[in-house]
Amino acid sequence: MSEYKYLFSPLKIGSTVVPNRINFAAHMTNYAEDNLISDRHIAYYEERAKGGVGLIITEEMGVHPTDHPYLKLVDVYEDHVLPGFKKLTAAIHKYDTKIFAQLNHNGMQGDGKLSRLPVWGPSTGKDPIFRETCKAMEIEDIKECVEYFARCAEVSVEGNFDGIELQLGHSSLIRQFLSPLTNHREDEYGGNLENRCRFALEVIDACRKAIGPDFTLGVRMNADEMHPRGGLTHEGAKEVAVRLEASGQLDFFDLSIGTFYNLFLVEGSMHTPLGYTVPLAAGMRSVLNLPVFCTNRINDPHLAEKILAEGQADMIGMVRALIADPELPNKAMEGREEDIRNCIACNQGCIARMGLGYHLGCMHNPAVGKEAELGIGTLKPADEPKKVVVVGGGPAGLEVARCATVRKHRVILFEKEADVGGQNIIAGKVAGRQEITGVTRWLVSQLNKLELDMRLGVEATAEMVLAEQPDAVVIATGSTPLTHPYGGEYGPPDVVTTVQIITEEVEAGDKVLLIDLDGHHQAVGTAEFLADRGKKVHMLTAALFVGSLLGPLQDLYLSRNRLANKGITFTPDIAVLEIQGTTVKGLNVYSNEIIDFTGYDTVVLAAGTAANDSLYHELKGQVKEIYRVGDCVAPRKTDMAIIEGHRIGRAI
Amino acid sequence: MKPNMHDNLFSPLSIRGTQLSNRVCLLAHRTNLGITGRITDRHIAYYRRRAEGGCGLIIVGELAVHPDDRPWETLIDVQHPEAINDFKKLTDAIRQCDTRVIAQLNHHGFQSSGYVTRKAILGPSAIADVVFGETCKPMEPEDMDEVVEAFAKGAQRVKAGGFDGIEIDMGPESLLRQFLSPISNHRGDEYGGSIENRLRFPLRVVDAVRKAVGDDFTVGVCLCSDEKFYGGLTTEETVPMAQALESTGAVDFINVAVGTYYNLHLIMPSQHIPFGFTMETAEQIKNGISLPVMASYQIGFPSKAEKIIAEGKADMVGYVRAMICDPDIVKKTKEGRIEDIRFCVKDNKGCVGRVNQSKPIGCILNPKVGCESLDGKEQLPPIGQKKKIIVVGAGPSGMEVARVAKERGHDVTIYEKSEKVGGQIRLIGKRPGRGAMQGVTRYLKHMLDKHGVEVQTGVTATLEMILEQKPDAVVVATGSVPLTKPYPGEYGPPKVLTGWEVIKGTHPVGDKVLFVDECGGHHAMATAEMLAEQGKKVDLVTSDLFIGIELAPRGELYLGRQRLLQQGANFRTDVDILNIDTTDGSLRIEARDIYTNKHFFFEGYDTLVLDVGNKVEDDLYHQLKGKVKEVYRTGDCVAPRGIDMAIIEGRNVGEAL
Repeated sequence: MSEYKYLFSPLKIGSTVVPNRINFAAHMTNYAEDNLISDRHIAYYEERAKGGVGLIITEEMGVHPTDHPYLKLVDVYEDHVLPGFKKLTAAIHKYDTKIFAQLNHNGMQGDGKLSRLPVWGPSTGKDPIFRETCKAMEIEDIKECVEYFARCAEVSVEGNFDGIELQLGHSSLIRQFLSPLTNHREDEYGGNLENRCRFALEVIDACRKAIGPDFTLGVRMNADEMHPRGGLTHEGAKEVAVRLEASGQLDFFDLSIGTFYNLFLVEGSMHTPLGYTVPLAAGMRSVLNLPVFCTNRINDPHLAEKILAEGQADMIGMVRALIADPELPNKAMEGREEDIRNCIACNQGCIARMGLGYHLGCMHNPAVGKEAELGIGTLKPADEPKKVVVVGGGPAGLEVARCATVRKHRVILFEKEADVGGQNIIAGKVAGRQEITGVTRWLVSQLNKLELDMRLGVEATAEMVLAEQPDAVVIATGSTPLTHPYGGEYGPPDVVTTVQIITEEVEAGDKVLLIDLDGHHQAVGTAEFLADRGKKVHMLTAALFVGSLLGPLQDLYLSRNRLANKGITFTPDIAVLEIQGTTVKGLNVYSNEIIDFTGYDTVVLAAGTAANDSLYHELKGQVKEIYRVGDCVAPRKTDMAIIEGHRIGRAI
Repeated sequence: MKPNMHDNLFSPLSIRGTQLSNRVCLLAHRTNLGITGRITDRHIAYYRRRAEGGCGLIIVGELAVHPDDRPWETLIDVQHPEAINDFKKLTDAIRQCDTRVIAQLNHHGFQSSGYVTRKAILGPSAIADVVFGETCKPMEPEDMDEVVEAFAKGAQRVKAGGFDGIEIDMGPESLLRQFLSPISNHRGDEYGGSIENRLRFPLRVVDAVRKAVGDDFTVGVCLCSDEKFYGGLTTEETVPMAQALESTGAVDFINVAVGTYYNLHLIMPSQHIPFGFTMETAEQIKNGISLPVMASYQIGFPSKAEKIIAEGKADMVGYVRAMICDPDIVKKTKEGRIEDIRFCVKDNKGCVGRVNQSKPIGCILNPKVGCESLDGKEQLPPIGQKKKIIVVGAGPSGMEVARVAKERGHDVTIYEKSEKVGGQIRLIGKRPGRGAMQGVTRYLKHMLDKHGVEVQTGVTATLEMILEQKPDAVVVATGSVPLTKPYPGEYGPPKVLTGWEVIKGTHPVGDKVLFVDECGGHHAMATAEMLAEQGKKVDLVTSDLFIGIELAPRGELYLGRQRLLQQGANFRTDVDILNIDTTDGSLRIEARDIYTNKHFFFEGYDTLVLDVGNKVEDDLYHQLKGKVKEVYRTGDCVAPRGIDMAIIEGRNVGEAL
């Protein structure tokens, strides 16, 4: 415990004493039902309180009907929100955890598709994501918005929150007023710094009046919009912060970074360095007296402690780190760091699902959003311990083995390779994707503490499995890359799969044609892997652009940026018809023009995988209980492998 | 027009005991009005409103027979504990009209993902759907048993819920089609291969459903009768399939559908797809069987529908968008009020465009879609006091305000600065393939004429002029104009033009044209197409990832890109325009690749066309504000958006006055 001198020391924020320095910062969940806090929300937040977090700041909650950028926003301005608020705050207050409500208006970072109203902004303009021109707010709109903020602040007090955070960060109307990028007004709300701060100060004043002098009130403000052409710079943000602090109405400064122009900074993936916003927090802290929060890619307690120890921030915001492991604070406090399931910033289960409108999940924590059913303390020993054979030591098989062993089953795990991890290890060999192997790291760390019979380097046959006379068999044999997805005469070493390249089974020639049916990291990562080794790579895809699935992961811009700068070229809209040798015959799906792609030394296929289900079919009917999980059911992604592994691990 | 023009359309039809009063059916379609797997009051209001409009049959879609089939969250779970009660509320509401109601039961198979259920999706063979992109699990025998049972149980539940019948979905987005089609069924067992084998699973479902509901209940099939895709189903196979369905004796009608997710532009055909493009297919099915056949897709015009029935090409016609846009189309047809019909213009933005983006269904022309009156009494609110109202601008927004205000009894005058009404729609409708958009103006103009609204065209309203007339309320609907100077530099016509200037022909356009598209919709693509048709060489450039970024949800992306590319256009993406200069008579365009940050110049173009969005025309509003008792603004002069918001805001203000 002494290891964390700062992390587990209390912090006084206004009138609120937070027991430690970890804040579960505001983030979308899509758990709302009918724009209200749901039971799912409550179980989700309560799980983090149980896990030892000091402070929870709710997801943004909308203050005005003109702001409805997505279906499942929680609205505060309706009176019937109160029962949900009270239930939520009561659940959190069972623990030594404080909870603040975040109030926001997203301004022009929205559209009218749901509200069927014009969206509001300081000046007319379009957000790059929502692409709808906003209405430049009239004076009465500004007044109305300030009133709504105040009213919602009052509702938050009544809902028994411990404090309020006003969103002035990456997605907010108030930032749009602060920023010269979006505020081109010529009245008293635009132009110089004083004018651009006016709306923020009016909101702060009105909220303070509504909640009284003793209730905790802070802001989450943008420490740097990081926009290449104007916008709120770090120096500009400092000036704003100093002005806001001088109002004497605030108790803390939480921070964010970036805008919708550079979402890859707002939601940094594993390609973004850990703690990438720390210098900004330190900069803000150098000019402020109030406590400063630092968030973004702080996924481990040592880093958190270091930031606090070095005086760069007073509070550490964690989001994905606590989605992946709600018990991170308790585990750190108890010195069980290796048990922490660190967020790997893959963004697949959390951010991508948010962007696509699904409920929040996590690639390697299957309990996210299902805490009532799968949360802390729910993995109970089985009534009847069984002998379980698991075949395959990828994420799905490891998760089955972990859950079944915890539940006191006797587990034998066969893995044909010398090491476990399966495709997760291969995925980690692609350029910049090493962190993804954290999935295997955690699973192995847990299995190492359990009693089970791991048989590595053994390819299980039906006979071998039956010879064990198991009560239950779980097949988790994964999937294999498709080597012949098109007609024609071709094969290795001229035509190979991405896996053959990244495992260095085959070395590609100098000129490579990569066929991308993947749209994900496998294709672009392999291209980068090859370019890094001096190869000239051209990519073909039938999609409209290369990296078609990377947008929601916030990996699209930086990936394409790296690819383009490494000289990789693209031809989209091409359906491959056949391959002969290394000649690829493609059809432009729009013009119907047939094009031969020739002159390449190696053709690399990112064409997906096929299920390895033969062992399952052989054993089906021959054992009492048989299950299969993960890619050998249908090749998908790690999230489904772990969800299914967990489900079966509990069901046996 | 005499009412008896549509005798055949209004002749009754009996399908195994279900008596239809006419031949028009509202087909199953997505509404996204469902919440937590259940039918909502919005659903009931939506369907009741269409029943009130007089269609003979409504087929309610979005019903999923198995809880693990959830391609999107808003589906209705037939197995939900409250489902039967919910169904009763819906069917009771519809039954108050002379309309029968059938439940479409479906399983989407692999046209889905596990994003909602967090489970594997099912299909005949291991396939990743072109839209969802997730590889499915090939169904094992026990999976098939489970789905058959779910269909049977679902059938019992909808019967208990008061539906008059069932339509089993074997259409473009169904598991059963996936079994029928050689594109998606590669099974080596008795469920794959020959037609007989591919039919085996669908026939098991038909059999189980019939057994579940008994002999006196109507059961039909929506059959994808032509996938219109390489290697897919054609009538060569689907006619024998329809015959096999008929020969079971369990099927009472066939609803002829076409297309798959490979060609979504056929399932949700836009203005660019010809009317009645499925008639040949429907006729072939009709000729092959003796069961009643329903034809649909692009049959919204009563005269076309009448002709189809009269000529015996089909027994029923299916409408969807026609009845979204005008719920009263059947009633108006019957009464011979064809001119009063608000015809669907197949813009697809309000309906499929919204639905595909997981938003509740809407309509660009009918602002009430999805928010129909819950108590079933849709009427305009009465006025307190008759007001003198001036509307400035006769685009869709101003016309809708005027129509509604006048119908409510106010005294309304519209001033329009052009010689004709319609605003931006007049320009939109001049683009190739977009002529149907004029239908928006046609309907509104007709209603204004009918209600006697005074429309003064060719008059530019000024502050003084308005104040002189002492109106009680002024509505400013002055629209928007294209941005002419969105980038730094010294430039302008004739070298640099806006899309509007090109359509209007204000300046000659050179042979080589660079077209900047920052909106991603029809404005740029259709205007570029117009230039290409004039023989110009047109290249489009955008900072987006691809040209036409807004068009996919509307089923317009594929054909739009195809038309342009086949006319020799080139697309350049990922480019920011930095500076434009025409001062020395040449055209200098400096740009930057967004990803490499390399700066470069576009060379060799004669004309640059800009489509980078519009700016509000709000001067008059700001001048009037504070000077008249009531002042409102609606549509693009609030914020440039589109026709949907123009009409919604027009309606809202028209009702508020």
